[in-house]
Amino acid sequence: MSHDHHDPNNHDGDPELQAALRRDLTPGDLLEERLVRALKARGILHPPRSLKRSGTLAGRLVKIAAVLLLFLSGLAVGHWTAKRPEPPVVRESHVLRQPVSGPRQVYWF
Amino acid sequence: MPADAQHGQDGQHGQDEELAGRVLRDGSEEAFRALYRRHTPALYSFVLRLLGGAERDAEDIVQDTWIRAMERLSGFRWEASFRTWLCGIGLNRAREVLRKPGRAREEAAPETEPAPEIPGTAERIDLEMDLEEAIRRLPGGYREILLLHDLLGLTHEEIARELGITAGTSRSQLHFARRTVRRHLTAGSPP
Repeated sequence: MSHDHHDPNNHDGDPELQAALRRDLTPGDLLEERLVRALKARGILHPPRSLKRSGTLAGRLVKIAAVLLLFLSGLAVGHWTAKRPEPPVVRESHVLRQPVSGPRQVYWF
Repeated sequence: MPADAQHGQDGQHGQDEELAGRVLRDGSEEAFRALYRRHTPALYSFVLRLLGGAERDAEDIVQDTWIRAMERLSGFRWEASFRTWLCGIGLNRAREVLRKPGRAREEAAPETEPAPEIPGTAERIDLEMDLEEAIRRLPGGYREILLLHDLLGLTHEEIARELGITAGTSRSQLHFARRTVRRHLTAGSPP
């Protein structure tokens, strides 16, 4: 974009007039909020990034790695549990049983 | 507001592109608000004057313009400045509103002979008070060219492309528009 205010065909430019013309007019304060809401409703704007996904790319990669590590750890523990030797079975016949004879009373004379 | 001519010098073009990229990539509200605050005063000034001072219509058009621009942002090639592109959308939207049947507009007839200027008058008048009225009285096509050139800083070649006219027509109509505005201002000033 370039001005041609100084070209030969532009000799009637009035700097004062142009300065007054370039005086900015501003719309109402609510327009910006109204517009942001409209763009969000259309899915063009999203909530602030910090609420949606936090951290940098490196941070996200670390998180993904941590999740993978946790998953693989769980897998390994499950695998190990399935393959470990069974504990000795305690047979019922080996259990010493006390005769059920009720409370024994001993009398001392 | 500085004209678009300063975009390249100030690096605003690159900043606009970076902000627009964030809007496209992340839907960044922060980037959009930054773009909005950079360009809305010029867009609003342009549209409001095109409409002859109808503030409510101008705000609606500014809103529609931004929505259209954001919807089409991925197709913008950055060959022109963002502001020029944005105001081009605003111009088309304003024309749609002006073409509505219910909108009766009082258009002043083009004048072929500008009135003689009174030397020194410009210093005695309050430009800011009368300028809006002077612009409002301009015929639509002349008003567009005056605003595109003197407010937004488009060249005659750019105006010609935007409006589908020749650069020569743009020059002559700008000349007429300026004379008419000046004539109105001098006529309204005290002797």
